[in-house]
Amino acid sequence: MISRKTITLALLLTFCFQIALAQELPRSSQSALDWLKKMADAPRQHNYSGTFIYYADGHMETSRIFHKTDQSGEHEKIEVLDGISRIVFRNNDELKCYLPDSKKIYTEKRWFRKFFPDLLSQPFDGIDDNYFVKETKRERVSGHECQVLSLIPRDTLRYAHQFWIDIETGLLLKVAVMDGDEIIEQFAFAQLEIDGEIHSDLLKPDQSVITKEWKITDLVTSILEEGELKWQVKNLPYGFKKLIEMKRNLTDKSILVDHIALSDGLATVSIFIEPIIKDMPTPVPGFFTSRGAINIYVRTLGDNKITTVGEVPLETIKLIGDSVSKQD
Amino acid sequence: MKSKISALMDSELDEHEVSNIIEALGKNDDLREEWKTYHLIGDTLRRSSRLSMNMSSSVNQKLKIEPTILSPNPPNIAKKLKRKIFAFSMAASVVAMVSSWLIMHNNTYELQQTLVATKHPNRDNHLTVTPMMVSSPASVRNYPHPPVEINNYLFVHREFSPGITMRGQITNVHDVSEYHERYGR
Repeated sequence: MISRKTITLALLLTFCFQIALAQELPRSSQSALDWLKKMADAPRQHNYSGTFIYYADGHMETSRIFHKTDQSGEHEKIEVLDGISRIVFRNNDELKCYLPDSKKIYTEKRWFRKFFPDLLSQPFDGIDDNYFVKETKRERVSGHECQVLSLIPRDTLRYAHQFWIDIETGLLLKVAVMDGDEIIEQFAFAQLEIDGEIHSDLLKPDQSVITKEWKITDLVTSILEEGELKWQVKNLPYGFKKLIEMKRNLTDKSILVDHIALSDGLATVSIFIEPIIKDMPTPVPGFFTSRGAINIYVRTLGDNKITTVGEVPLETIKLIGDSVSKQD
Repeated sequence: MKSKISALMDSELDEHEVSNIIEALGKNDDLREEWKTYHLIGDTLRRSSRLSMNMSSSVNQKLKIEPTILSPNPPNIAKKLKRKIFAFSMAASVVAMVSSWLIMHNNTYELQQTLVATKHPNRDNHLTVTPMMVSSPASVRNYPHPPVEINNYLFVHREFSPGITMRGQITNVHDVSEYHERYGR
């Protein structure tokens, strides 16, 4: 029968091969990483306005964006032009989401979320560890000459990305998320003006439309220190780190939900933990997918439901969801 | 016996020997350990990046979440099948071996239920394919809609992505059986 020594040896060999595998893709070149830095900085240095298209699973949606940056920071309006009307106004980290059809307004703080084309607002130290960033070619997007960057994952825990970065300003004009050779979602500007004047009226909601009937809901978040939550995430898949831990409400009436956000430098994953309420429908453990790159994993732990959501493959979502346990 | 396991993995055994060795695997923990070790080494040599994952549990999980669906093939499936036929034959032999092992050794494993697609999915909930979800632990439930709160989670996770539905809508979330249909995996 196989001895423990043999198994240990096999495992050691495995690690060696893993290291060899990890080194198979070279380190990203400094010039490729410089493009990422330029791209991350661009939204805080340039005004832009235009129309972008989101495409995934045969579904296409058009949105209009106005983005202004000045001494007081970033101000933005994004309006979805197709389907149900949705308008988001952002003043730095303050968000207001208007749903004119249902006459609702949600206000909250933005902590880590990403808005096309501002996809790298967080520090991106981990990117080179998890992705091989490579300059591939130059292409025109929406009339602008772009440098194309490929971000090839160093393992199967994450999706590949392609970025089209405006050579002059560094703005991200197009992004494709890929699973192997298949594009699973894409954002691209169809029309864009960079560094034009943006009147501040464009960045404010039309007050004449908003009446007393509109219902405003403030979504509360409170940031917690490490260890304050009664949950811990252990043995996370390689490259994923905790960004933030918080308590928040999801609707005006709901109780506070524990929320842990993680990232590998590019992809973000959220873990939501809430108690299972008596007399409410029992949560159904399993996997769900949303449109594009988003996957969802629901499990229960004691009397709690753990929902993990993120733009990573199903296997990674499961590993992250399963990494949650109660504090020792 | 060790060499037989290696031969089994290389598909070098005849039918009789295969059933003998699978039976032995079922009874003997050490042999199963060896089976896993050989796979680990195989994975390493093939440079698979999923070395650290427990293969039996992940395969078990996949089997549980993949209901067998009998429905008329849409025309484009024939093309895909043509392209993937080689991959399927390889995968089928591996899956057949692993599943037979799982069936024998995992008491919690339940045979998948066969679902029948109907042209009128709303007529009878018990025969509906789309809202069907096979959850873990293995049990099949009728599941008319994904939980509403998932949309709240999506809203919070990714505030503004046009691909994400906004609060109150429950149109974009699919259960995994549909996911497998869409992506064929």
